[in-house]
Amino acid sequence: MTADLPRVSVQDVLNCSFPVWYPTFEKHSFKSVILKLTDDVVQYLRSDKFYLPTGANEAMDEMRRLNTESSDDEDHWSDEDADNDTTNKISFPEFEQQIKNVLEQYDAVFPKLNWSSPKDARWMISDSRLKCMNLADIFLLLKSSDFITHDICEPFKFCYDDTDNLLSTIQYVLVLRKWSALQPSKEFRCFVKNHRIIAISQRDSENYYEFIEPVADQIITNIVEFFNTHIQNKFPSGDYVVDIYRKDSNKLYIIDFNPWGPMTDSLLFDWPDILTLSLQNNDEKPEFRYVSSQNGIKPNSYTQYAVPKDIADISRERDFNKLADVLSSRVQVQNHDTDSDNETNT
Amino acid sequence: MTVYEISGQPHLAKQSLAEMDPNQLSPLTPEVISRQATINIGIIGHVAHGKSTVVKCLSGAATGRFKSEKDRNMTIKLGYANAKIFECDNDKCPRPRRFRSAGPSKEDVFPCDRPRCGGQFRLVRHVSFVDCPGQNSLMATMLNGTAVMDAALLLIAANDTCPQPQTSEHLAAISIMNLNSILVLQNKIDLVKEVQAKEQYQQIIDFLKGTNAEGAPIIQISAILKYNIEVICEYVIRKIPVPLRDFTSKPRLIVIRSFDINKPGTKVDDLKGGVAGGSIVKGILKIDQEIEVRPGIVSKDNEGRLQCCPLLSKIVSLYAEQNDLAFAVPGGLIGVGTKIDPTLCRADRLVGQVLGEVGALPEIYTKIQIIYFLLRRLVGVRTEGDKKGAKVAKLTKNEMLMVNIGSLCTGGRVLAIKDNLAKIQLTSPACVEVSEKIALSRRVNYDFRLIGWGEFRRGTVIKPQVEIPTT
Repeated sequence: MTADLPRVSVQDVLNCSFPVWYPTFEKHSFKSVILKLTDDVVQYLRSDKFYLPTGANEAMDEMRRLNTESSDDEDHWSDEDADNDTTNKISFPEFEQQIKNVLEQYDAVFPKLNWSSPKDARWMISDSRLKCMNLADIFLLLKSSDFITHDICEPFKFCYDDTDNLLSTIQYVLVLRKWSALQPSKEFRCFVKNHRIIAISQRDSENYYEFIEPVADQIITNIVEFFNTHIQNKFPSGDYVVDIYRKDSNKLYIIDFNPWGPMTDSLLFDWPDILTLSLQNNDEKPEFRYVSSQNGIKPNSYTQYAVPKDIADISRERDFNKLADVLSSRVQVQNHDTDSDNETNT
Repeated sequence: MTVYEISGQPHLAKQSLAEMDPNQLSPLTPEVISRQATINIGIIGHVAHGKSTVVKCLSGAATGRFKSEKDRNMTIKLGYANAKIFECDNDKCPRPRRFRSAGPSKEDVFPCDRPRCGGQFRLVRHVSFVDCPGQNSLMATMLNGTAVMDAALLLIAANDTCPQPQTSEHLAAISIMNLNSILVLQNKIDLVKEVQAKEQYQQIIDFLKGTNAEGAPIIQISAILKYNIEVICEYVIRKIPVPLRDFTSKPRLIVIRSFDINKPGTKVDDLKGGVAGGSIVKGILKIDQEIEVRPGIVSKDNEGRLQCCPLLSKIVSLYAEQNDLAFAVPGGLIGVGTKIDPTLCRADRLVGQVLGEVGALPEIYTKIQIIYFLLRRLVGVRTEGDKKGAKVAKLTKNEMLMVNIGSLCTGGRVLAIKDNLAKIQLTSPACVEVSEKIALSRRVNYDFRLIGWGEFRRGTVIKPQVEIPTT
């Protein structure tokens, strides 16, 4: 007997919003600063136009100046320095200053919005990770991420009780977590049903870590104990998913909460598996799944975000129209080296 | 050079560095295909048409999970598997059952299962199926023309509509993929009546007419019933030409994963070096080889100047799937164990970097000058009403774009435009060759959409630093 897939309510999603859960669990999570987003910043994030705030551009300009040897740019173009583009001056003085203050305090930060971090946009900045050391890094990630778009435009997409006017009631925040290079091998996703962990999955589900198997029981024990002491009955929903970082057997941290439902990646489980487990009303310890043998290198699921959507569509769907368009445009490039096709598109 | 022999997986062919001669190697060399894939086959098609099931059938993959794809906003489970293809050595063994496929750990020779055959299945090919939306293979193939993908399986479900016949503008299109072979799989043949299947079959033929995929074999299969799967094996052997490979160039690998495999609490002296994984574009990687990873670690000095410290190290292990290698050639995804500080490899930090022989990698650029060509409108638009809305506007100063250069992806800020030239500041340094092809994409309706193609002409080089910073 399998249960139906769970329905997620707006309240469930709201309970997982960072500014809602963090005050309760601050002592057992990572140091973070929460900055409110004003309407103009939210508008900016919702806008398609992708220009950095002037402050961030200036930092990039400064970098360029510092790194350019004088012999470099023999052909200096006439409009290169002239900043005659006045339509795209973007500035959030207070907000930018708040960010700078946090950067001063923490040196480097990991950014996220109420629910998601811009992991899909990691190709944007150096080192392919979310370590932000300046304004540009943060804005680049926020503007390039589909996950952030989801937060900003349709956070209740999968809720059965979503209504039209909910979006305007959300107080959006930028969370800046003090940067720390976490080890993916130490992250675990815990599935909680009726205030009890019933399943645990290795979070970095595509890689094999040899050391996990011998200490599997200890991992379960540490996690369950941490959960029982610090999380159980303290989170407003009875069913939810919590990500825990086990730095050591006695040093565990809460990374994040997610709603109980298929929009939350079940990693090494299937949602039907989890539901079946949740129906077994016993007090046994949770089922722990981890990658138990070397599988070789697997493709990186994030690379699909490092290509234009059209390419992803072509290989993923039967969108031959796109394939044909893309390919014929390549033919055009080959046929017209210096071409007049760059005429104005107005 | 130390003599190095592989001792793992004793049922597979031995590999010996001492005996390895790059000039004698081919994508069919027995001791190579015993352990790794040498031909990359991309799969194009809708997940609902059964891509995962087809791959599962061919590779017999019990490991590796093939979950259904979800919305692009979430992590999508990927289908990736390698398969060994065998042929029975008894000439009298009839086709197609004289062909067989199995996973990468299967021994190279095993008895034919046809009653009283007496023949042996012998390993003939080892292929890698790349079923990854947006996996760089498709992009890289279009940009480089290099054989990151050697062939493609076009998957069409028999119970779905066929793509419409192409206009003359599209006819030349498929040839640009440099794919010498496309196999069309008409899947789910068990779900339709013969009449419907025949009709779609004809539609497919029409669709391919005038392209160099005209006459591509169309194989009717049912992956779920394992019907005609051996025919796919047969066509892989007979119809996909053995790709031309460059084994003698200095090796180059594009990193798509990197990690730290150490157990928590390991003493510093006992730490194993970081692992990088990716696809080899050319050349051969060998155990004990001295390697360099570029751009390496990017940092800023006190004055804000950008610094790159390429990582210098050595290869201590190589593997493909569950097989150890003494040397690795292009094909599939290869794991490279190194002596690089594992914290520098943690959590995919090296993704997008290039690994190769010391001193043989291209320069690192922070700013590029390109020649470019914009599309008139966004791709895929067909309906009249959408056409106007999808017009591609000119580039504007300070605009941020997604820039794909060869196999790399990074952000780019438009600094200046002159005719069909543009200067772009990259958001992270990139190790690329001059004249690499470029794709430009712009955020439209919350997605990065392809808006143009280009070519890298010249740029501002950042000279590498020698010391490696500690974090």
